[in-house]
Amino acid sequence: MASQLIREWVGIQQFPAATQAYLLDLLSKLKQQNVSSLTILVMGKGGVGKSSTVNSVVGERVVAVSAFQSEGPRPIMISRSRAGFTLNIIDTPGLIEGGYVNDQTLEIIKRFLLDRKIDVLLYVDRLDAYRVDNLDKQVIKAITDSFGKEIWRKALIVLTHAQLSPPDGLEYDLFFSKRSEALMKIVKMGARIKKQDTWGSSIPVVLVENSGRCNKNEYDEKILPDGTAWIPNLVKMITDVALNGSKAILVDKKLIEGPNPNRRWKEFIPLIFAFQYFFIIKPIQGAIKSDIAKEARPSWELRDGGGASRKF
Amino acid sequence: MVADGVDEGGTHEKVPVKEDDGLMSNGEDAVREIAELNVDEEMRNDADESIPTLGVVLEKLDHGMEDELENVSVEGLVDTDQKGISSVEVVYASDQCEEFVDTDLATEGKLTIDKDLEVAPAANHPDDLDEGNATLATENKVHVKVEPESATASFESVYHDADREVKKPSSSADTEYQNDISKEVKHATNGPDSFQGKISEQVPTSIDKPSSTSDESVTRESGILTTSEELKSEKDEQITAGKIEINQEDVTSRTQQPVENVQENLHNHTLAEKLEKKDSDCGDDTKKVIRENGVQAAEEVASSGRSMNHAPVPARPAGLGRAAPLLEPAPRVSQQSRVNGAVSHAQAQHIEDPANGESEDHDETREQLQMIRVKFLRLAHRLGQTPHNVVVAQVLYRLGLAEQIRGRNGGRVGAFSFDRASAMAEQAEASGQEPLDFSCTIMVLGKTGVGKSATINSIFDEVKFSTDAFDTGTKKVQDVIGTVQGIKVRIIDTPGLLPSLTDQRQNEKILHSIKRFIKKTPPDIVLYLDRLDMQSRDLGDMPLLRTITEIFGPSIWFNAIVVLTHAASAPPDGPNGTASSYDMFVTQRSHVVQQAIRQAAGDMRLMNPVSLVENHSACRTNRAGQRVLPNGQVWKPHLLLLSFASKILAEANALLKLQDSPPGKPFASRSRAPPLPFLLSTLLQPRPQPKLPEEQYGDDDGMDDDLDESSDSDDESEYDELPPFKQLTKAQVSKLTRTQKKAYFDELEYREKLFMKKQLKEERRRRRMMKKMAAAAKDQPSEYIDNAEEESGGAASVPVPMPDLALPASFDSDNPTHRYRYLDNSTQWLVRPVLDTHGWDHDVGYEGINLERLFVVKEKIPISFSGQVSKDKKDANVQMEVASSLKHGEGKSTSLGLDMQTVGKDLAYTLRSETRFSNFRKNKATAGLSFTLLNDALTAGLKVEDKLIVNKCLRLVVTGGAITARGDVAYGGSLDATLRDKDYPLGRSLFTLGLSVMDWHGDLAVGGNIQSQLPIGRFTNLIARANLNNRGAGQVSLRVNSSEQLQIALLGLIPLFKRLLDLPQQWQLGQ
Repeated sequence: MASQLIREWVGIQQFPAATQAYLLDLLSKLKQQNVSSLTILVMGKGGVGKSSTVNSVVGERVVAVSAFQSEGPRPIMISRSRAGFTLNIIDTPGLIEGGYVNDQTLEIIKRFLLDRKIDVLLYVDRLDAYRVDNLDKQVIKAITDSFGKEIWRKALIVLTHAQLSPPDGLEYDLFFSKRSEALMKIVKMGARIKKQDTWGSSIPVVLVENSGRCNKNEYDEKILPDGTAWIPNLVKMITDVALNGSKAILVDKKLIEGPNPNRRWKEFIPLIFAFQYFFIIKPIQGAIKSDIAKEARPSWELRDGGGASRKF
Repeated sequence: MVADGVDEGGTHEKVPVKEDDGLMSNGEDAVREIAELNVDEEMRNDADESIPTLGVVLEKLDHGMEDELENVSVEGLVDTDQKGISSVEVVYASDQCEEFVDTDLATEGKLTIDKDLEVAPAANHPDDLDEGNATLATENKVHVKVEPESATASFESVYHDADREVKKPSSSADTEYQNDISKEVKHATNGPDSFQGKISEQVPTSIDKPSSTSDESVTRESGILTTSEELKSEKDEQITAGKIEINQEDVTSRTQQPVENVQENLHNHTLAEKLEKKDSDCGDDTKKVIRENGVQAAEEVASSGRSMNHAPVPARPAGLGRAAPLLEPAPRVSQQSRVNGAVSHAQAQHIEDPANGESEDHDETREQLQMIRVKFLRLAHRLGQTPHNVVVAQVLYRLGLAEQIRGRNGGRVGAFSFDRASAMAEQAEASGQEPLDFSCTIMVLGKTGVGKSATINSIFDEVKFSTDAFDTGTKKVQDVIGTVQGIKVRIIDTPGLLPSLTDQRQNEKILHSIKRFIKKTPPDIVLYLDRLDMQSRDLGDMPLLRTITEIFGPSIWFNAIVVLTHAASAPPDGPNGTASSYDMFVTQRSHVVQQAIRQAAGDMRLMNPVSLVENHSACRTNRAGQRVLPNGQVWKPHLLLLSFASKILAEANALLKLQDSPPGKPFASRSRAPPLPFLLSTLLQPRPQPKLPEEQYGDDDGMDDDLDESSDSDDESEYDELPPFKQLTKAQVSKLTRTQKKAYFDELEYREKLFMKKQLKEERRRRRMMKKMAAAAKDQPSEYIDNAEEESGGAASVPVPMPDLALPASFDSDNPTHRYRYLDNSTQWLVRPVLDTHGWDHDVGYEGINLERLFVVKEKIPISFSGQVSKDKKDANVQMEVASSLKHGEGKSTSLGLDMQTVGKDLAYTLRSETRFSNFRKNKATAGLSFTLLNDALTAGLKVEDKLIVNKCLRLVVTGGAITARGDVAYGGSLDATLRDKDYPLGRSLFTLGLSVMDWHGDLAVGGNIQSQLPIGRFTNLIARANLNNRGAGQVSLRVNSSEQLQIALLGLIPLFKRLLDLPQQWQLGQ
């Protein structure tokens, strides 16, 4: 785990002035809350645009993106600091391979995250995928199993490819709400969030459009079809989640490896001993004794003249 | 009887292999053989403990080394067509010779009978040699030769494999069958879209061949040879056509597949040319090699007892002494040209024998083809495509090509010009009178949510199915019939499939329901839908594709078009942040899907055409209101044209009878014609009827006993009358003078003979007694029955000690024989392991299990059951045979049997019944029926057999039969005469004459063989064999078995030494 080089966040200057101002404002707000670093974990299926989103947020081409090949199986951490504030974004490889969650990739990610604190989880999926299926559920389940249910308190659902015209003549907003609804449902299912967990329904959903073809507003900010500039919006949501009061998830050994199996049920050992003594050893001894008492002496022993007395 | 024994020995293929190890053959035959062998062994054991058997066979010694293949002596050959042989067959030939070497070198003190048993399965090897010859004969015409290096190289590798192969005759027999299958494949599947599949079928089989580890390149080469030949014959046309194609491609660079197709053609041309060049380069060497191979092949053909007998196990490889090897398939010239490409129909042209007076009906065919062409042009016209559209041109070109190949003798005028057809089409369209006789069934498959239903709606331009972005709209398979531009189209919509591995169960359910749905009306074309804008990387769809392949078979992909929906979506950003071009995007995405399909189908040659679809309501449209893709393509006509093209080509196939699976049934398991000659020879094989245990040891029937009865009284107690005789010890014998020795041995032999005669007689008498007793017991009141039965049963179940494997002296852990000793338990089930003792080092060697049992129902009806399951790394084999016979009336018995066996990858079920009438004392007639279900082809056969026993020595078997499947009939007949020594089985002389005739596809194959075995002196046997078939191939072999001169055995070492000496040389050459 090579220590990540923390570089000055120069990419922020690439953003349009309006975005820059907004972002710096947000950063200062974070600093006010005594938060000087933020670690964002980006996860999701392969090919949904995780890396593109990371690139968009950082404002640099930090992660190689290719539409047709999957990136290497290693997570990458990008650290950028600006005005005393450090932003760490951890980009992870897609979790799905050959129709199931690749445990090896997951393991690599977990190891990578060891001893790190996750302030925000970005769960990335596409807006323009219509259906949710078992794969989504499996990915969510894998994330939950790895980092615990609590991680969803710090989660943000990011829907990429936001610039689309919905099919069947649906309204954009309707389409968006339907899609996020479907995803929320699967997240709840996969993360086993109970109905009474009110926070479960409050996982925010953010739209993202990474394409260079994204429409822009008069300030040259990339905007969504509904007109909002999405990068400031995303960062704002991230800060909101980071400050939402829930504890950040510390990925420690226990979380990764689960409880030490050797220590499990250890307190029951004396009990078992006692049980064995009273219910197994004692009856056996008793049985032996009664057997001896009942035993008829064999004829040869009688014949050989019982010189030897019994010992046992 | 010798002949019979041999035959039956051969029936259990695995067993002869094991006999080396003392594991005896199964059941009744085995028992009988044991009896015989025991007798003989007793006789021999006195003489010496290790009797080397040495077969000196003229050409076989030469075969001893594959290096010498080049100077194989041809003396032994009566006549050899100087036919070439493709390298695949070369593999066989050398395999074979290895096998012979092995057999001949074997010094296991076996009797000659035993020896024959070994040879019998071996001799059955090259079943399709003739086939190969035929193919090569044509190849020779065009002077395509294997280049010398590769040829010899293949010999080398073959040699090593052969080593292993020899040790597994059973598997080789198995392979033979595969061979047969592959040949069948060659015959049967020769249609456009099947070509890719065929290759895939062919290559595996050839790899599976005994020399599996040997170069596949050999087989490939042969494939190329056939291909190149074909191509060359058509070369000129193809090249010109190819040029045309290229020009068109220049004009329209949208779809890349046709181009690739053309390139592939060209590639093939170059290949062919290259080969030709090589041919001219390599001089006499090659020819020599090939010629030698041919020679050998011919020999092998001749030597195989009945070359069509090569089913894995239940097929009975008739040993020596049966009819000649002429029940082989008619030689057919089958070639495939390799045309691959755009419309997913690689076309393989099968060339029928051009001598069928085709030219008459050719005109008619051409007219019909013209109609198809017109039809297609009309379709294209309706879809708004000109004849110059890439797809249209491609289809027309193929139709022309097919027509040419089909009607080689006919004129080739207008094969590639479609002006007339075009004019006709335009006229028909303009008049609007003639209804277009065309309909197409399309099935849509794909992941959920990719837009299957939406695509269907788009095609019909109306909402046929409701769609919902967030919910699976289609819950069940349903079809819709509609018209597009006046063309009747039926589309089957299917529920969406799920990509997750855990959902495959669900997918299977869906796919099975689809399968049921399309059973009656199979689709002409399948569309596999995926989204263009979804990067399904990381093999995400692999489980899904695999499930589809599993359920429908890989053939589903032969007729599949990849459809990418959401085609209007913008391409993703390239690596440098700039948007990549749309075409690049489409190409890449298509490539990903195609590659995934290839992997799932396990066929790397698949090239599914890609069509783009955009169903979005906001899709750009042209002035005519048709949806236009970002690249300017109007997608709907393109998609439909691709679909129709495949249907049209299938129709053309059906018309031209390019032997293809029925068009429009892409997923019905590719039906191929059942191997009729093989089935016929199996049918004609005489089968022993199951017998009651008490009759077990009797001869075929009581007849021999009856015949022998007269001689019983003769020298009844001759042996007992002899003066007492004291055997000498070895030391004493060595002291005797030469004449004394001779006299001593003569005396000894005479006594042995008499003794054995006596034994035989006693045995016979005992048996007769038993029979009488049993008969008497039946007449007795019931209380005696138990008793009698016990007795007779006791005789039957005298536990025959199962000879165990010969155990090696040491308990070497590598030797599996110690591990797999088995107990001969008292149950009626006879369970034995099938061992491959000559497997790999450290291999378990446990290949399968063999199960046998003879039941007796109501004390009258014997039911024999035998089954064998064996599995090795490559394939699993199952054979099961249940047979029963019922005697009704005097001399009449009917047997009924059910066989089940694996043939290639399929299971063949045979139900057969035979009735035998022994109406006369010396004549037995048998009539039988058989039905075989192989794959989904039902084969029916009928046979008549007559066995005539002229006198004690001479017997005659005449068999005739016919077998039919799918309107294809094969007739066959054989005559088999055996002349035995007077006091058989003691006398060793034997003379056999076999004749066989087979007619299939009007192709007559006649063959005969003669074999005779004569004892010369005390310890020497002379075996002469000759055979000849009507194609002029024949063989003469002379073989002397001697147990007298041990030193002759050393001769066998010569080839070995020579080989060893040559090794360093070869290494040098190799380096």
